[in-house]
Amino acid sequence: MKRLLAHPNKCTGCRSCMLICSFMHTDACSYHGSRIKIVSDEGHGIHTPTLCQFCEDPPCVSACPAEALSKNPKTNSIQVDASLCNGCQACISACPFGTMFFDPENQKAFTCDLCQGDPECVKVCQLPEALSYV
Amino acid sequence: MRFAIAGKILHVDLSKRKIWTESVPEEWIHKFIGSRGVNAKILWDSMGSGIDPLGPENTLIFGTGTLSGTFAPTSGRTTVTCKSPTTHLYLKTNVGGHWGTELKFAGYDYLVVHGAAITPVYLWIDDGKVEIRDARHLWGKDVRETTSLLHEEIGDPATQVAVIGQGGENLVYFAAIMVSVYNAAARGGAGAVMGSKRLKAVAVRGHGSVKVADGKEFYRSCHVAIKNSYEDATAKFAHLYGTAGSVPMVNEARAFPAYNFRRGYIEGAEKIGGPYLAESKYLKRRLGCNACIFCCHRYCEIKEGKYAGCYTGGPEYETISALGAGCGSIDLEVVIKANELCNIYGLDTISAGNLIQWAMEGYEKKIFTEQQLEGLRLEWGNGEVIVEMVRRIAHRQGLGNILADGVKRAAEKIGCGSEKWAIQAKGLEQSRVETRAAFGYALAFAVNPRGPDHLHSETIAEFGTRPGGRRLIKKITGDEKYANPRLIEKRADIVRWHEDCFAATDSLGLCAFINTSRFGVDPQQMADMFSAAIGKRVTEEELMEAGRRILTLEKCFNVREGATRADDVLPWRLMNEPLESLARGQDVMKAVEGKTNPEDFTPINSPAMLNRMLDEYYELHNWDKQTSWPYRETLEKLDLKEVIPELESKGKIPRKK
Repeated sequence: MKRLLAHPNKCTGCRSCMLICSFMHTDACSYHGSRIKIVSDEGHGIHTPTLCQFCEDPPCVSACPAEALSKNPKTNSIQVDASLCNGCQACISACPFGTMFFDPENQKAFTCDLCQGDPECVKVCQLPEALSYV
Repeated sequence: MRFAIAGKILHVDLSKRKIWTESVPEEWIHKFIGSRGVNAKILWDSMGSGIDPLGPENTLIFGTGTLSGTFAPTSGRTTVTCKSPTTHLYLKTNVGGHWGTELKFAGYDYLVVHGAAITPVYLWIDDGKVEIRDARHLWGKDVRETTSLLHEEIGDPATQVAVIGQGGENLVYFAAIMVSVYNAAARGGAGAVMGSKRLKAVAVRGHGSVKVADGKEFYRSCHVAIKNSYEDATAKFAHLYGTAGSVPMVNEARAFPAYNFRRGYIEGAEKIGGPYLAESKYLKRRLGCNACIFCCHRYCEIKEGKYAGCYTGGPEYETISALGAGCGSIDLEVVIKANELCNIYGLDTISAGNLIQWAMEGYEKKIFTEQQLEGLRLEWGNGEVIVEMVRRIAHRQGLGNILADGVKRAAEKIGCGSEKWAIQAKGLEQSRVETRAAFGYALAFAVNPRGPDHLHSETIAEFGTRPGGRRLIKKITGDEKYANPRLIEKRADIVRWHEDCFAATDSLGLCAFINTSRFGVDPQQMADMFSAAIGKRVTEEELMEAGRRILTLEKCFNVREGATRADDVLPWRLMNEPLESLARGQDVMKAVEGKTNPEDFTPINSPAMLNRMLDEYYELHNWDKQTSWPYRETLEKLDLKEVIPELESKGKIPRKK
């Protein structure tokens, strides 16, 4: 199974991935709508991208009391069934990587869905190669 | 709901401590595209001629790109516009980083700063909330420290900050406005204008988003642009080696400005070039401006030796020529250290290096008194002196105080013939392009409203060294044979096309690296992305015409200030002294297939050749050749009728003979 990986030492902090990610999932470009987050220390040129680690035994899934979360068997991503998500944010507390997010407007959790197996973020990171899907 | 743009202009009057907003007129997006274009309109409307650039009447405008905030490749650039203290003419200075996108996400496309505060202040823009805050505790602090202190004060290290260092505070005529710490709106003294307003910083946090009108088409057109950009052979080179990648080649071409433009070559230049830097212990990371897909910016550290503890963004090609070869040095550590100081003091590296070179040549010619020198040994290649002079310039100490006024004023003050080696025109220090080796560049530099540099019309295509460049020259002139920088013919056509394209590129918030330095994206693709974003069909021709309208409005600003054809010149040295290294026949053009120098080629920008190109250029623009001023019919045709009454009342609408 292919995995989407972030390589912090190669991240240039350009945020192209965040802008295209939010566009694909929310229909608008923003930072808050992105499934990838970048924490920056601009003075030292350090940019650290974080995204879902696609855990073998995902604590977010176990934590969900509404059974809204499950592993997508095709891509291995965590899928959130919005119709079941009750907005309790237990999954967010459970995620050790801080890569499960909450949309305050719709009161739903969200995380990387690997764009159904064709992640857009990787397409705008071809030179730095800070994101790979292999 | 506005597509692509936030739709708002934020005005702040520091004298009256007043804050207000207005909406961006719909018509402006079609006429002026955005960013640089809309800035030009705001600047024209906001002042009359003859105001003091360092007085409260100057207006400082920050304009985000119309595509900024989206994933359109390289769309994160911002243009800062004001009247330049260096030239007393039009100034636009463009910067990358992430500040502009943050401003847009905070809900504003433009920030217009009027007046001047009595004591230092900073602006805090937190989405819809805007405050003028006390900055007395920040005054005197450098760029990096101020940014950190603001992060602490605001309690959010993700806050984006535009800031001046000691350079701007001390009204150094080439002080930069720094954003995202190491990205500089460098040229022409915008930092001094900010300093004169006692505006230390603008901190911004935005949680908004940008919506485009036609998502499907926007996605399609952006991906075409991304794909084509990646396919350009130099894309990878730009990422791996940065702008400094070209140092060894330009040096081999004998066109790498060294020793204050006396030579086009320096022995050992590969040791300050991008490929060497990439393999060195100094390069730690590669960085990218917002939404960039190339990421040509560098981050370097020096861990040991004299400059241990130095860490900074850069160095770029320009910085390496200005603070290295130009000063007769090939010491990469000196370049990185001087770059760090320019960054944290907030100085333009191009001008800072230019001034140091001018002083070194003056030292060689013994024009300074012992008192002026204060023991400084300004010998070529003396690294310690290069670093020390940057400090003294920023703090206006000793000789640094004379240099801080820019090379034109410094030469006027010192005299002794030093204006002949003051590499400036219109008062602006020339960027690091050997225009005696490339005549399209020479014309572009001479007519640039802000003074001689490459960020007005980057005519790299004229070299014809890449297929994309040759195709472009054929498109503009009808024949690939004009892809030869040693020809005078067709330079006007080439420059004008690039002007139009560059103005449109800046105004969309895109980087010149997608279309005039590299050839992945053409105006058609820009028009496609723009159309999809705003939801109105804009043709390639309309986009390029808007580019010309913008350039013409910038020109009109200079006309209103009293500029004439006599201002469209190049530095004295370049117009009067041939470049020795090229004259000896060591010329890379011979190595380029199918190209030799024309019979009558002399590596000089003589008045005769420049005049010929200028005649053709003004004619092409339908501007009066004697004065260089646009005719009424030209302004009417470009739908710039609004500038006619004022120019007419000043007698500056030429009559057609």
